[in-house]
Amino acid sequence: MNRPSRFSPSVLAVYRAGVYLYHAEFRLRYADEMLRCAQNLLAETSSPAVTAYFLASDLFHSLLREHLAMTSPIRALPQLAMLFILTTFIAGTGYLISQQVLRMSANDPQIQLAEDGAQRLRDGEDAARLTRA
Amino acid sequence: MSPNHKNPVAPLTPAVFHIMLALADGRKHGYAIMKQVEVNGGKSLRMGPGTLYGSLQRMSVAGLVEELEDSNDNDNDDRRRYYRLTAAGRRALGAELARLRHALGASTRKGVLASAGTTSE
Repeated sequence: MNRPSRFSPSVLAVYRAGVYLYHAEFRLRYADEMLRCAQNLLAETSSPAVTAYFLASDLFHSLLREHLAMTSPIRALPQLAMLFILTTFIAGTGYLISQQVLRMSANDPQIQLAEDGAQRLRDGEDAARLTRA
Repeated sequence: MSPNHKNPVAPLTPAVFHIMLALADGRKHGYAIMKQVEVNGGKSLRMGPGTLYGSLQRMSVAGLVEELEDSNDNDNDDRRRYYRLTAAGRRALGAELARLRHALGASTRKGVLASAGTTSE
């Protein structure tokens, strides 16, 4: 067995935090055993960095798998409905704001033309010449 | 892992197959299973704690393995959970090995195995 590396305790601390992300039932049943396995792996490895990467990768995939496995479509229906409403509200708000901005600036060219015309009339320009232009 | 455990003779996923193979010669705790999987399957089939315990949980629910409460092992580590194959687990492993043997036979007849062995060397 190799001597535990300097950063093994840090890896284990991060791993412990990661294990906390499992759902309660799984965590209560297997967390201690998983930590013990991780500890043994780190104690026996000759390349702690590779083992840390292996543990992180396994943890990520396993977390994903466990959460997907426990999320049946029926049980997740309220959360999915909430997500649907929230997504619709955010997308709708974004659409309305962009439309409103577009509408508010739609008259800008016409207003500018009228203001320019009024200014030229005030400066004494002939109205007939102005309308021809 | 596919939900094949409802039918014990359905094909097994690689993780489940290797866990069952590791447990074929007697009960083991999690870390011992991990090491045995590495021995049986090589470094490419290295199994992490998350995959191992996730699979064990599902296998336990499907009745392929059972957890042992007490431990009388030499290392006298009572806190460790031990697992062993159930009768249904043994049948499922036997069925999987029969499938593999059949596939191996077919591969040999077609000459695939010989050419694969040549290229890998």
